[in-house]
Amino acid sequence: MNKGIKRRDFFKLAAVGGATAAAAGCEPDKVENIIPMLVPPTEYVPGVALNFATTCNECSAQCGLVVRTREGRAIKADGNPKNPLNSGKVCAVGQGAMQGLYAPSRQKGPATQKGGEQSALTWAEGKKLLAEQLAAAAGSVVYLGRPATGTIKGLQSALGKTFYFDPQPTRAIKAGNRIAFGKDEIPHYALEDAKVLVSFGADFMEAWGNPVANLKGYSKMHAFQGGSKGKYIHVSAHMSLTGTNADEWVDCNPGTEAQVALAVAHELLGNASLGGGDKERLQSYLADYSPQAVSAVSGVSEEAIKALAESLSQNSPSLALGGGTTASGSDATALQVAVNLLNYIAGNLGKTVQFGANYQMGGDSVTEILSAVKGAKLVIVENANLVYGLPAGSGIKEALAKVPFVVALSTEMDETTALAHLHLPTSHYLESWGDANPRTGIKSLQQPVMAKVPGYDTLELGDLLLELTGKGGNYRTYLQAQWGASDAEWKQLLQNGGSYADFSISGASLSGSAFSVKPKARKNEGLTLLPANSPLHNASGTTGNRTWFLEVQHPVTQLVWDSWIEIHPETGIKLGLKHGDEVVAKTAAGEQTLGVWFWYGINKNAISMPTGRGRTVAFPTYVSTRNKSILLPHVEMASDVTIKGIKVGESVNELLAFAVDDSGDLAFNETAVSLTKTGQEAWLVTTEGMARDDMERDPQGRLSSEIPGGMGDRSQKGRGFVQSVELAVALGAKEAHAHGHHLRERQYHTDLPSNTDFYQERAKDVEESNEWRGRDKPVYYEKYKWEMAIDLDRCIGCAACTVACYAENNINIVGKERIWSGREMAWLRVERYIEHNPETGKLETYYTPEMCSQCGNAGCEPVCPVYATYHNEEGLNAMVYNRCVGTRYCLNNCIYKQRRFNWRDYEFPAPLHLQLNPAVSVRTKGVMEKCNFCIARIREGKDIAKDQGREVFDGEVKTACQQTCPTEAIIFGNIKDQESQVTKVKSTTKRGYLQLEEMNFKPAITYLKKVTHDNKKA
Amino acid sequence: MSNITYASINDDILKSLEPPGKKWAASLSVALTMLAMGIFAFGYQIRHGLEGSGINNPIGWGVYITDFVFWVGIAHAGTLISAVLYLVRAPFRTSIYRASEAMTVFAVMTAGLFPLIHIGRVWNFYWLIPYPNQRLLWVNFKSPLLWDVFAVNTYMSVSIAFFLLGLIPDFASVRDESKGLKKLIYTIPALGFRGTNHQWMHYMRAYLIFAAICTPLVFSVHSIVSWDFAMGSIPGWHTTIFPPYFVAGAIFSGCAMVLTIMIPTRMAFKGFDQIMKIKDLEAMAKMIIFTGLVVTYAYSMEFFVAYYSGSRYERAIFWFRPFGELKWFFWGMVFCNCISPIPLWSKKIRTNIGALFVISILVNIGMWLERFNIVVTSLAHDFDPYAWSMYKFQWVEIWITIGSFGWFFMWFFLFVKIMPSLAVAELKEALNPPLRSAK
Amino acid sequence: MGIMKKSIFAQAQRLVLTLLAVAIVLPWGELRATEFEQPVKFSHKTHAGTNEIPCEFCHIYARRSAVSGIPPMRTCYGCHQVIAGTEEWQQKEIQKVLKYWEDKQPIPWKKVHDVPDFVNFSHKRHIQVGFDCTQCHGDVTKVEEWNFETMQQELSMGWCVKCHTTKHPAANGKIAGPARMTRGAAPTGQASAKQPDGVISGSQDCFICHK
Repeated sequence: MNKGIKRRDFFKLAAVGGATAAAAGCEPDKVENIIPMLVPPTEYVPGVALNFATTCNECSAQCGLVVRTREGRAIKADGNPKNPLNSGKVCAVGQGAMQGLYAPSRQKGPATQKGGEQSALTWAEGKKLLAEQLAAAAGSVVYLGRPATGTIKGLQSALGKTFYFDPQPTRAIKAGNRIAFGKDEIPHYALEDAKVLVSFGADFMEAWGNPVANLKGYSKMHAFQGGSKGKYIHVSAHMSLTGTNADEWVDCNPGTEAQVALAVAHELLGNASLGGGDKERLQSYLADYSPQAVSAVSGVSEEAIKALAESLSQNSPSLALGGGTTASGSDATALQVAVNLLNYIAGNLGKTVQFGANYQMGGDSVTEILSAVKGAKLVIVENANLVYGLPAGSGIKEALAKVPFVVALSTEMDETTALAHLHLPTSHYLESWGDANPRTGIKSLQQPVMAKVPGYDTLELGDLLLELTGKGGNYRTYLQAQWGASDAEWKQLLQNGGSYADFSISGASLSGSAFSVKPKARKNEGLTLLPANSPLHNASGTTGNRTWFLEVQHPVTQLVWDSWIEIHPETGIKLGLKHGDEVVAKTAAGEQTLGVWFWYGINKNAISMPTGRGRTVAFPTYVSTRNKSILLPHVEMASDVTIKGIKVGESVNELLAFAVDDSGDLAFNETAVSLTKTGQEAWLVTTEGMARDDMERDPQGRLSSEIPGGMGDRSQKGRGFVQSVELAVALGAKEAHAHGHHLRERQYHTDLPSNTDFYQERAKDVEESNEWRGRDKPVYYEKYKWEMAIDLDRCIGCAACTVACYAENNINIVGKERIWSGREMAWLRVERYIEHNPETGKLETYYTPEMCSQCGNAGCEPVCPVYATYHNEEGLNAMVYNRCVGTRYCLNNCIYKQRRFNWRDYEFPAPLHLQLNPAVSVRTKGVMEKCNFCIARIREGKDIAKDQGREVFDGEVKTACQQTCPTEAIIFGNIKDQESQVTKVKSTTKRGYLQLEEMNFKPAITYLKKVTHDNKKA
Repeated sequence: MSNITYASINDDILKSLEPPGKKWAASLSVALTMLAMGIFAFGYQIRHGLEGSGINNPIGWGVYITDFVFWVGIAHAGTLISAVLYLVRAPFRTSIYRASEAMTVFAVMTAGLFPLIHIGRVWNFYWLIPYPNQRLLWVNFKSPLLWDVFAVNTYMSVSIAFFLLGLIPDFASVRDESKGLKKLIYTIPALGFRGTNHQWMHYMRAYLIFAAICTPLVFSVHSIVSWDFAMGSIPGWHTTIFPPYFVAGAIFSGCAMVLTIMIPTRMAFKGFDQIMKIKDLEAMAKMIIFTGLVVTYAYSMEFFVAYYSGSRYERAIFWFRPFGELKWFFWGMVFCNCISPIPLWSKKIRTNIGALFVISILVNIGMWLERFNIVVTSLAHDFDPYAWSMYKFQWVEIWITIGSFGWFFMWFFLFVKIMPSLAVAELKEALNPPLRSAK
Repeated sequence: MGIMKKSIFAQAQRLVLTLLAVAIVLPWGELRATEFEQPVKFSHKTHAGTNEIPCEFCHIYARRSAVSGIPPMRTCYGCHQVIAGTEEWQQKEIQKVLKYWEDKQPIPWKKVHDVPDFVNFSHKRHIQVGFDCTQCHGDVTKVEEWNFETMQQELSMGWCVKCHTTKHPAANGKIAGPARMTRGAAPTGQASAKQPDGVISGSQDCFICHK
């Protein structure tokens, strides 16, 4: 609040006034340099994309990647279709590899560090220094790395006692299987084969196991196809994205998932046929877990438990999963055992639980790591961010501070490497050689996709370790030797990204040790803090300093650039809170000030907070006008915009009490928390429209503003953007409700004049006019008309598509304040609606990806005065940026509101600008932009097709969103090609509908209705 | 009216052209300061983009378009009074039409700026003009915005021409009254008018023709402006009632603006109150009453149509306006445009200068709010509930709006000192010719 | 879209353009910096003209990619390790090139034929449909050094569009023009001597060129 104009401001004003005449965009063209290569690489052709198969290291699942490069720069990470783990798909976090590669937070080069001050070294000096220290500390060297599964392990352990750190709770799964079945491994959970899937807290769509693989299986099992659709029930205290996609959410008190599982087992046991006296032993073991007993502690009704058991016994094979941050306490192993027993009783062993896969996921025991660090003379940290990933109570920071010498081989400068004495930054994994062995049978290679990012003086981890271990030589040849591959084979392997074989399922039987473990009795007083993952952030926090994952809205809450507290409205109101209030969350470990977000999908005794936030991200300092007078000038000079580190949200680890499960996993869900109101309103920013007041009343007859708690009504007001249909109706076994279903169904329908759009109707006139004008007006839809189908029954709202869109199309990152003032740039956004189902009286969550529909009768086209947007011959709603003068009429006239205007010039903090896709213009201020079905990819595909004198075949051109979608919800192709998948889907489906069809805009995107089990959904 | 003679009219009016006093200088400098604010803000916007204004996704148009429509509306009264009332021979026209014509010209000049100010890349504004160009590109005549370009330009050129035409005899009389350089200057626009019968005959014919040309423009321009919205597909815009509704509104605000500027002028110059009589202002007030009623009818009719259409989108927007987050703009509009003119029904108030002045200002505010309502609330609350949004005012747009007033009044202040702000010749016509015997 | 035929208002056009030029250019000085010197006086005349080196001998990517490619240093060195040049100024320039090679430094050429970044022009497509380099770049065999004066085409949009709207006589799917062994090499015959069996005209979709 500055009253009047300060001196500095005055000069600014004067300067601007003077500069007013120099209208932007009128600087003289610079004469560019054009720099030849000395000796061009053979396979390199400027202007043509080059793809490299490699391996993702963003999480320990280690999917296969294909990284796309242009002019020697990596620009996009896609899944490797040949790798059976993720078969061509990749999650949002995997896309983030790009922002990791070009991270501004990377350590520039070798340096020593004292008291936060760095002094640069040459590599020679650095290595010498490290060698000395290694020699000195011989015997008590500890190597802390990110989970590695390949050849590198040997070198690491040769250097010192090696531990891998991964805060994600996965060790309990191994332990559980060891105890229950004597198999110390993570088996293959075959979601695809299950008829019923029950998840006890496992957020398998977000961070549990390998999300991409899980989703592949899940969509096979749960998506409506061939007249069948599996059922998925989520048992948890918190309904995260995974929960919202369930057909039913069973709300249990925090930490009681294991007991519910046992209760279900208890019910199931009755009519299960088990040999070897297992039944008797189980009966005695499960005696104290009768539904009555359990429902008392868990708050789950007996009926619910019985119903669960019922559906499990009815449908075989079924599958039960357990784990995830919100369900993992210091008895996480017990939960796994319970789930295993359930699977065993349901007879899923060897069917949906397949041992022999032995997934190499997760890190080492946290307790071991801590004790090792305490005793160490020298600690080597390599991309393991313990200080962030462990709760403050673990004392890791102090322990590291006590260590005489800490060496950081990490790529990034993070909370842990900040404590290092010596920095020897290793290259990013996309710049280095390596390999991985994510599960039995799959060996994937990791090759450098580009030369080292300019400005970063790094060495490959492999080379460095070879040198330090005295082996010498370069890692690439070492690797090849280890693989024992001839050059020819090697080349083949590199092209495939590795070698892939199936694993053989090994049988397993119940072992007595299972009965030694029992879940702890949990008494829930007050509120319990549940750290929750989402597809955009997980406990490891790697995405916490990457702008894509802050800018893209959190799928469930739709909040951006923040962390927050999810709380049940009833609990909130009881505490005298309103939606969006600011509170202080206090635990034994510490306290933080956060905003509350009312969310029906959480247990009344719990609150939830996002993991992986509270990190520092480099972002430009644009002028802020928030809470400032609208009458005084708030001037931003070019010099004011600098790249500054800003902390986004708060880290949940600062609130968590430190506890560890027997397996060595962190315990996440045992911290008691209390909330006190500050009286302030929190600044929670969402991409969701701010004004939600409307005449529509919810089934209780309340207006949005009358709904207690102040969250208002987040439904679509019966506009029918997302529509759903009962399974029975979809199968034709049952008549749809005569009167439109409820708010999710269209309320009324207009008979449309014709089925052809403007351009098809005008085709003849065009030909005639061409004749007598002797001119070639385009003939529409001659060879191609690009259309899309989006199956809402497959879409889970994970936002991987949005991130892919950001990566592919150079979309600007605008930051929290700009999103708050409605300036977000996302071309593709996954809209989340919370609907009220009058039949069940429950709230239901729906997702729909919304992008430009490339309408046939578009509203934007006729109103553009300069033809900057027009209908092109292939049915695309073309947008020519450099013709746009920025009247924004098209934005106003777009009924789907899918156009984005550049309200200013945005900066890409170096070196992130190197990630920009050269095939797509970077838009400047004052022009409109929007989705164009990845025109750059279409153009490339047509170019290749033309070279070979043919037309583009189906699946040759994939939009970025389609390519990455793990559930294959997005189908894109040429509607003129009768054989194309999109044509088939559109012509055969009975679930298809057009959004706002009665407006007759003829959108090119057909949505397929969501299918519900007897009109119920979480 | 005995004390008014040809001579006195000449003197009174031409006195207004004498070298300005302090008051005038002060008011002009205020106007210039406001203009400077506007220019500065615009310069800032050019350098940094449009984020200095409250427009956002999905509200693509905001204060700028509101200002544009507002000023175009203001511009209407002038032509109406000078042309239409001339054709229908309305006696009260003579004393006010010159100033209101000037107002028209300046208002159009102001309005014409806003389409440029509001576009994202103003340095490319000329792409909106159909001219043969190197890129071999053409403009899109399907776009209402392009119709605007033509409508506004036509209106501007015609009203300027009409304005200057009307001034010819008066320039002549100024020329005759003055000497030296001033005489020379006024000789040029006087176009050698000597007041001969012959000249008068042709002059009156020309004036009549021009009046006839202008008349349809009064109705066409604002109809076309209204099509910017009526041609749009979003609820609250897409309606057939807009053209008449906008024209009525324009005249409504125009008449109000005439009062707003005439009343001070009338006080500023001695003798004007003799010429510009209460009954003339009262006539304006009556027009305000009438057009105010039309506007009120249009408002209620919008609601009926929304209800009757059965379209949930239409209904939602017309529920949102009075009860939604932006309701105060709506109720402000209702108060200013529907309630505040009611007192004018009583002759007492109608003839009370102070009351007239206050009401006229209220009506101006109300009409600005009306345009804001139409532009913003509809965009804030259209089809996709996920995209619904709010409008947050920013300093740049406010400064530019202030600047536009500065720009307008700058011209008006210059006008009253450079041109006879009342129509000398026509006022003389209104008198009965002096009798020789009286001398 | 919105393409208008070459209008009869040629005069009006010139007038309007001049006015616009005055209106826009004057305040901010000339829009294009034309003053520059190439680091090496490379003569297309000598290479393509006197010595008849085909364009694609150096610009190797023209047929394969959107960009024709600036020859790598190796290409220069490949010949000039044995070719010292005849005239003195040539020798001087060639020495410069060799110096660059020894220092393992690229020659920082100045870019003359430069289309804006928002334009997606593909050499590949034009070459493959049968156009010859000279049809756009003019007769390089006569140009001593490229700069904005000697440049044959201003590469303006209008110029592109004119060509895209004309119907080019074609012989079996390719532009009927001089047939050559390699692009830029001496003509080996006239494809157009064959009876053109159709016409080819470029696309008029803005999206073809504007990305």
